[in-house]
Amino acid sequence: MKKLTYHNVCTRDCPASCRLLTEVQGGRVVDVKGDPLDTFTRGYICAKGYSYPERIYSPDRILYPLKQRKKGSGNWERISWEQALDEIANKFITISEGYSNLLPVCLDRYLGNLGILNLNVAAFFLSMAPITLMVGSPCVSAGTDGMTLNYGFCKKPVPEDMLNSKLIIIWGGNSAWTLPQQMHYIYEARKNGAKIVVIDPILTATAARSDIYVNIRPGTDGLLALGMAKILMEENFLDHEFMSGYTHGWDKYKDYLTTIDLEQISTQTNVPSAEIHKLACLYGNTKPATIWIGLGLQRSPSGGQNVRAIDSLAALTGNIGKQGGNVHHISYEVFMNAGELARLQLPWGLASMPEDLKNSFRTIATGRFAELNNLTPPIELLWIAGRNPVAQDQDSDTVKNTLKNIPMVVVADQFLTSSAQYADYFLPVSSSFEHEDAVISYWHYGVGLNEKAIEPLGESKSDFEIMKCLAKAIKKIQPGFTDFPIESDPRQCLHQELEPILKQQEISSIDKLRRQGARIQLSAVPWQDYSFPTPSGKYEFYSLKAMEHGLEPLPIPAQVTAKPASYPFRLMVVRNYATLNSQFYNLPNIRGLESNSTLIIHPETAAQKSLEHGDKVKVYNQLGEIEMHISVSLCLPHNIVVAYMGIPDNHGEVINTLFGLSETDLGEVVSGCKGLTFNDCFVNLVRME
Amino acid sequence: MKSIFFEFNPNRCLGCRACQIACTVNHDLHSGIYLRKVTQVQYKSKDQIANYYLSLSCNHCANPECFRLCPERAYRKRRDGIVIQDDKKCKGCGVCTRACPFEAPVVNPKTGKTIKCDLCFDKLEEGDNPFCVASCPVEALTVYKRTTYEENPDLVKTLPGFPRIQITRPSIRYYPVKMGVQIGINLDYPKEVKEDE
Repeated sequence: MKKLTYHNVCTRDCPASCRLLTEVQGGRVVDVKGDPLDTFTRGYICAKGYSYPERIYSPDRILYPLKQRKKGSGNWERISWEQALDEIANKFITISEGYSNLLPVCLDRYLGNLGILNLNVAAFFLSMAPITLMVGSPCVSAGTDGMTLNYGFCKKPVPEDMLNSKLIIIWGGNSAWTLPQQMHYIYEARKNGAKIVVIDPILTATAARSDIYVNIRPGTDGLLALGMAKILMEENFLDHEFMSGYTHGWDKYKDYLTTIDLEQISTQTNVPSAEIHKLACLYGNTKPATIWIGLGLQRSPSGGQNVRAIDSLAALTGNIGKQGGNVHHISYEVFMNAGELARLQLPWGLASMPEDLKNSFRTIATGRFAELNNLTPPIELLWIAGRNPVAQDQDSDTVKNTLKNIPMVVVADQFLTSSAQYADYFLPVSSSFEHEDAVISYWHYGVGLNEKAIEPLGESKSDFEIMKCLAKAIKKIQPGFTDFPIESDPRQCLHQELEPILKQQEISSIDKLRRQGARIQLSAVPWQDYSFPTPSGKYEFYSLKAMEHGLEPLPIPAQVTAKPASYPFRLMVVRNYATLNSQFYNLPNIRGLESNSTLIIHPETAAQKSLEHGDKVKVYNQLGEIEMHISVSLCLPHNIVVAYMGIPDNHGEVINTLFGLSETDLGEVVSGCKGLTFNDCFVNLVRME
Repeated sequence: MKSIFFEFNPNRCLGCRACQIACTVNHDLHSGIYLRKVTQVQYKSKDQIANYYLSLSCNHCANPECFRLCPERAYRKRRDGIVIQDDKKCKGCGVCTRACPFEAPVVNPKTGKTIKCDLCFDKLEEGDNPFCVASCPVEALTVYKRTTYEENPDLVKTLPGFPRIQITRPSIRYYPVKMGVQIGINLDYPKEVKEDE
């Protein structure tokens, strides 16, 4: 039988946004591989990408609408789309009649699917304003805020600019596992003479391949940066021209740096002071030098200030605006170049709405599920799409209880996730191989068009299609209720979204875009004009805006949390190479790579608790307990235990059961609410027989 | 006659498992059965922690144990060195799975027969790389042809964590492991640990 090849793009929340070539035979996906024309990935994809055929045809996939008799009971009943949509539509009408507005309707959607058309879920709910919206980012908001306060806007160089660097400091990130394609550019830079430094509490796969690995106590990254800044000042590695012309608050920062004690910083960070000195001199001496701030370090209580302090190193040494220099973090700049829908991906999408519309929304900060319980008017209907809050948000038990309390919870997904288990209705979503879409990468700015390679499996529908069907069902009952475009054609909608990009790139047709891809042309090296949109118009060491948000105007991190005596181990959740948040754990090919739920501990901890590789332990703290098997590793300090993000335990309980609600210092500047910490949780463990 | 060898650079391998999964899915083994496995090796070495990955499949040994012990004579060593197994002859007795020091042959539950890496010889013959090599984003794993006496002096025959090589003489060569400077690590713990995942 003839094989047909389709162009797809991975829609997972990952910087690579790989363009894929999908082979289809007899209406079935038989092979998924990287597209060699993808300039960033060069055709290399990850273990997850290769697992797509398994994921598409997974026996766990739910292909029909379901209704659960009692939330959490597992007592699901297959129902028709008509019944599901009619019952949900009626709920909208009843709420509207009872409350004379739709504030009791709440939307919690995030980046489980990066497709632009997927943003129609948000568009649908926004068209029903006023409603209740969960806003903010559980992922990166403290870091983007830190960058924004310093520079005025969060920008970054293109990934390939690392090729021009002579020193690459990877600070709090594990590229080898989370963005393996970037390691090609890093290794190439090394071939050109660059040194690779990794700063991380864990000797990660990336750290193990570095020239210099610095083991740092979690959350103290800002302190290390301050220590380095002091040395850069004392050893006169400063770029005086840049500092005097384009920075604000150096006098105050200088005064502060003179007061800090390096020995104290050494004790707090766990890095010997002589080594801090060497590291600062290496950074000061090597031009151009770049720092890649990973997402890990900004998920700590002082995450925002940590990022600000690290940024300051680039400003002190004049690495800003230089090829091969700057700070790589993350940028949303790319979404400003597409159409209206893609702009909803912007965290400030809400902030850019007309004032009267914006004020009519009731917003709840992401992950703060307890708050949903105490609202007037109360939440009657919660719609969850592209999210798994039970697995991803803190304090999973509270999330579960909230879901139980809300009269109607609808989850649209491909699998019965830990959140779906507390839904009343489950709506089956098609995989991105089953509908058209497009993804714009927030790392390399590539635009990938996603074709429909196969028909939707079973009765599954794209999120866009589901919203259209729901709008139809609502209109059938009350014609004027919503103006969501029920006749909107996905292809037309995509054309509209991509039109500005086609124009910018002078690409003649969407067909050409599909075959070739494109990259949104942002400056390869940001800040070359030294024009910073901050209040002072300069790079700000001293930020009054930070003060408005209750922080020190200088990048001074708050004190590090002391560990509670009864819970001696810091639990860190890190990303795994074969899973993405809570996705992919259910596939046998992925499960076979790691034991299903492993807690990684140091041999000293194992000895202390009489544990051996593979033993079962109960991991517990004041919030709850879960059951995991252990593996022993030298790659982490003895007082840290590590689990993979979103991992389920032996009974399907999630690791986030052990995380209390805890906020980062920043997040609200760009994303509307503070971020969440995932590096500041303490546990104990006990052997199970 | 030139023989085919794997060449593996632990200083490039990311432990990303792309090779392992690319191999599995392209051999239609969608059930957690792998012909190639990536394992982590770690041990204390002077003032450092050695930490690297090995990506291992059949090593197409010069003296393959599978070939020697298979009661059905299902294994054959080709002139180019590739060890292949005849599916039709295999009765699934499992002798080879127990004898191979690299645990390369595995029983495929779908067929009840043994399956192992054939170095994707059909791809090689067309000038393509095997799936594992083609999937590596950083060229940590490569294949090359050479006569056995043309040893590259930069390479070694084994690394810690790699099973015994004396008997079977596997056709794989390694770059020696280089670890960078490690600052602030705690080496003060009771016993040495070396373990695979």
